[in-house]
Amino acid sequence: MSMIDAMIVSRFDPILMICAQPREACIGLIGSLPRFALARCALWLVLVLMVLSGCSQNSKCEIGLCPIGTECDSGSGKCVEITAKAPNAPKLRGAYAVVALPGLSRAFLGYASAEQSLVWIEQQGAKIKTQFIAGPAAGDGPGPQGQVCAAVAAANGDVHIVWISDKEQTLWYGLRTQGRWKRTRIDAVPPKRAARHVAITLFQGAPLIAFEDEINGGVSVVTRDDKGVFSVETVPLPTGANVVLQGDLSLVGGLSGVTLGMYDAIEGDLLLASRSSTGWKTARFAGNEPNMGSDAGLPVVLGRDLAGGLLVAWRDRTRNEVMLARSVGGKVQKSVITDGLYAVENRQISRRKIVGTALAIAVLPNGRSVVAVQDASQARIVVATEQANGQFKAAIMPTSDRAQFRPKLIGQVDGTVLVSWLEIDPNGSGEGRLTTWILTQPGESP
Amino acid sequence: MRWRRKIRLIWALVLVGCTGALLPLDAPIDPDFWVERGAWVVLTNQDLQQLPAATRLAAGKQFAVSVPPVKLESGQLAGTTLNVSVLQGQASISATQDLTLTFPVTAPVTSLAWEVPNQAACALQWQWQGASLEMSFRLARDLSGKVDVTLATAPTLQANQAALNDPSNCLMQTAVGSEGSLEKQLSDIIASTLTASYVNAARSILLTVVPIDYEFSGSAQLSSDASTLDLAARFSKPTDNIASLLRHNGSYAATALDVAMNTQCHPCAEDVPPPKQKVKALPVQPATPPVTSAVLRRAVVFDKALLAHMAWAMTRNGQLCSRVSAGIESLLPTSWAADAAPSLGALVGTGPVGASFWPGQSPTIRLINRDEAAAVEWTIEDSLLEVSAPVAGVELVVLRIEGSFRLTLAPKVSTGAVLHVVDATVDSAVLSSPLVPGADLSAGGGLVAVVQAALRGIFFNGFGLSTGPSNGVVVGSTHLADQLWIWLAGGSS
Repeated sequence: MSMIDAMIVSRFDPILMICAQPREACIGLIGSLPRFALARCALWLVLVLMVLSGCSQNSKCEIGLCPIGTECDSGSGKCVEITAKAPNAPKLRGAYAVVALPGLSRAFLGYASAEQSLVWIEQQGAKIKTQFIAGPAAGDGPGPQGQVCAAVAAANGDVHIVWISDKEQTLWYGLRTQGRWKRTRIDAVPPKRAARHVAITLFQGAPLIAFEDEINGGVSVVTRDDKGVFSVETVPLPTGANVVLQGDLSLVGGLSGVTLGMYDAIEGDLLLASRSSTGWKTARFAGNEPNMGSDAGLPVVLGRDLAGGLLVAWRDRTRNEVMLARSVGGKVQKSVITDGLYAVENRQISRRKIVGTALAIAVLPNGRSVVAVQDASQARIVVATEQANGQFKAAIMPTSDRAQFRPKLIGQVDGTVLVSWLEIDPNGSGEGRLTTWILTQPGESP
Repeated sequence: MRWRRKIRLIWALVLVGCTGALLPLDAPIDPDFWVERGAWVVLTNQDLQQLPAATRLAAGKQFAVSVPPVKLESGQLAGTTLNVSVLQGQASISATQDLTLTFPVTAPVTSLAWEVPNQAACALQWQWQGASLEMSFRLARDLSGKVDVTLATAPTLQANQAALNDPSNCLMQTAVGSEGSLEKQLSDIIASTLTASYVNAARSILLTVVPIDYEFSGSAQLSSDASTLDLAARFSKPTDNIASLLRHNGSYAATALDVAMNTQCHPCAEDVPPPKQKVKALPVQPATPPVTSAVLRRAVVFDKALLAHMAWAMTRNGQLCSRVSAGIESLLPTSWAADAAPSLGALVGTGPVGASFWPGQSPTIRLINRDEAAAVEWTIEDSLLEVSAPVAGVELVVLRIEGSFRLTLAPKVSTGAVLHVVDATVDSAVLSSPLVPGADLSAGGGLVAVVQAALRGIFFNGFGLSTGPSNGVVVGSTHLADQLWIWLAGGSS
C-alpha cells in the first residue's frame, strides 16, 4: 500500500463578469487569465465593451421578476448573482461528483479529458480552484487516471474520494483533510477487479466504497476499519439476477446502515441492497418481478430525507416515467415525478420525451425533495421540486445552446439548490463543460 | 368464456403488442367503422375436399367398445371389451352438401366366454373379417360464427363375415340352437355401441377442426391503461350448411368477413375519421396456390380497404407511437452514427441503441410486389424518428429524423399472417440532433441503414394475425388488385 501526498495546483485567479438583463442574464465567469497586466487590461476593455453593447437595452429589473438563479439588484437595477459557468475549468468526461463544503462552497471531482487526470474543482462564490489528484497532471506519469470516480463530504469538511486507475485498473481512495490530500491504493481489491462504476458514502464516520465487480459480477463493497485496513465483500444478489449499471452507481449511508441501488437486467427490476449490522439483504423493489409490470431501475438514485428515511428515484422504462418512493408512516409512498409528455407545437398531438436516463436527488432544509432529471430527448436538465401538496413542479435549466447531461444536485443550507451538469462540446468526443446553477426559488421555471 | 375464445383471432388480427383487458363491448360499433367484406378466408377446391379428411386425425385410433353380457335361454355370453381400430377413411361432400365420412373398421380376434349354469365356461373367439362405418354430417354456422355439426342421416355399419369360432363345439352341446343367432345378436350389439361411440368422436373432431378456420366472429373491447380498442367481426352472410360456409367459385371456396374497429384517440394521434370504405365484391381467382404437403392450404385475404382501416385504427390507438429501448445496435455497424450523420461520429459512444417513432398521420397503403411475393407499403408523412445512444455514458437522443417514412411490410414464414417490417426508408429527411442544437445535420450514406434498423427494431413483432407455428406457416403471398393474399399451410401430412 502506497501513500502519496498529492500536489495542490492552484492555477487560476478568476474574474467574474456579469451582464444582466431583466429577463435574460448573460454571465461569464472568466478564469485562467494570465497574470500579465497588459493583457489583463486589454481583456477588461473588451469585457467592458461587451457589457456596454450587450446590455445597452437594459431596463431596470423588478424584484421577483428575475430568472431563476438570479435576483434583482436594486442598486444596479440588474439581475445578478446566478450561474457560475467555468469555461476555463477543465472539461470533464464521464462520471463526476459534486460535494458541498462548509461555507456554501462546493467542489467537483471528475476526469479532465485533456489532461487525462482526475481533477478537483473547488468553487466558492465566483472563485474556482483546480487541483489534479491523479494522472499525468498530478505528476503520476503517463496514462489516464480517474475516468471512474466518486466523492462524499463529511460534516466536518473532510472529503473522501474513490477512483479507478485506468492504466492498472486499481482502486484508489483519497482523503482530503484541512486542504491536503492523501491517496491510498486499495490493495485488497486486486487489479482489474473494479471497473466502470464506483460509489462512496460514509457509515459511522468511515468510508464505504462500492464498485462494479468485474470478476465476481454485480457489486462489491470495500470497508475500512479503525486501523485503516480495507476489506472486501460481495453484495449478494437474488438468484438469477444479472446486474447492469448505468450512469452513477448509487450508494447512500444512513444511521443504521447503507443502501445500494442496482438494476437486474434479467427481470428488469430495481434491486435495493441494504447492509446493516446483521449483514446484507437484497430485495426487488420495483419492476417486473414485484408484479408492477414495468422495466424499472435503470438508472436509480438514492437519498435520505431529513429523518434519515430512504428516498429512491428511478426511471421506469416501460412507462417512460421517473418515480420517487419514500417511506411515510411505515409505508412506501410512490409518486410520479415526470412522464415526459409534451404538446407538439402547432399540432393537436402530444408526444413523450425520454426522461430519466440520468438522475440526481437532494433534500432541501424544509424536507422537500428535489430531483434532477435528464431529458434525453432534448439533452436538457429538468429539476423537479416537491411542492407543499406533494406534487412536483419542474423547471428546465437554462441553456447556452449546448446539450446538457449528467445532472448533480446539492440542497444547500440556505435553502437554495445547486444544480450542476455538463455541457457537451459539439466538437469533442463526449467531454463537457461543467456548469452550475443555483435555484433560489425551487420549482419555478427560469 | 366462449365469447372470449371466439374473438381471440380477431383482436390478434389487429394489434400486436397491445396488452390489456378484454371486455365485452358496451354497444355495437357504429356502421361508419365497419369494412364490409374486408377479409376472406379461402380454401382451395382441392383442399376443400381435404377438409373432412382432417378427421383422419381419428385414423388409427382404437375405440374400446364395451359389450354387455348377452343372455340367451341356454346360457350367457360374458361381457367383454372390444378394441376396434379405425383405418384411413374417405370423405366426400354430397350433392346436398352433407359431409359423408366412410371409414373401414376392424377388430382383433377377441376371446369370449360362453357361460352355462353348472358347467365350466366355454371359450369362443369372435372377429370381423371386414366392416365399414358410414356417417353423414351437416355443418351449419350462424352469423355469430357458431358452428354446429349434426347427423344428416343415420350412420350405418356394414359388417361382413363376422365370425364366431367355437373350437370346443360348446354351442352345439347346449340348447342355443344355432350359433348364427348368437353371432347376429353379438354383431348388432357391437355395431350399435361402436356407431354411437364413433359418431360422438367424429362430431367432436369436426367441431374442433372446422371452427378453427371460421371462428373469426365476435366482438370485444381491448382496454389498457392508455386506450381502448373496440373490435368486431361477423360473417357477411349466414349459412345453414357447408355449401354456404364455403362458397365455391371455380377452384377455391371462400367465406367473407365484415370487420369493424374503433378506438379512443391516443394523445399522440390526430383526431381524424377513418378512411372511407366501400363494399367489396368477391375476391378474384388467385394464382395457383403454392404446392405443399400440408393437409390444408388456406389463405387469409386482406382487402386494401381493411388494411387502411387497420392502419388508421392502429395509428389512432397509439400503436405506431412506439419505442424500443435497445437492440438496434445489433443491426448496425459500430460506425453507424458517423455513417448516418458525420458530425455525430465523435460524440456518440458504443452501447445500446434505441429508437422512438412518432407518426404524423395514418399510413397510406399500397400493395406491391417484392422478391416474388406480395408486400404492403406504408407511407407515413410528417413523422419523426428519434435514435438514442450513449453519450459519455448517458443515454441521449442523438439523432432526430423528420420526414416521410416508407415501410415495407411482408409476411414471414413462421409467424402466420403477420406483416413484418422488411424494409424502410425516408424521403425528404431533415436531420437534427440535441447534441448540436440549432444545426441542420447533413445526412451520410448510412442514414437509410439506421432508419431500417430502427423501424425494424421498433416494430419487431409485426402487425397482423399470429396463427401459431402449427397451422400458420406462410407458404406464399400474392396481391391481386386491391387484395393481399397470404397462403398458409396447416398441419403437414
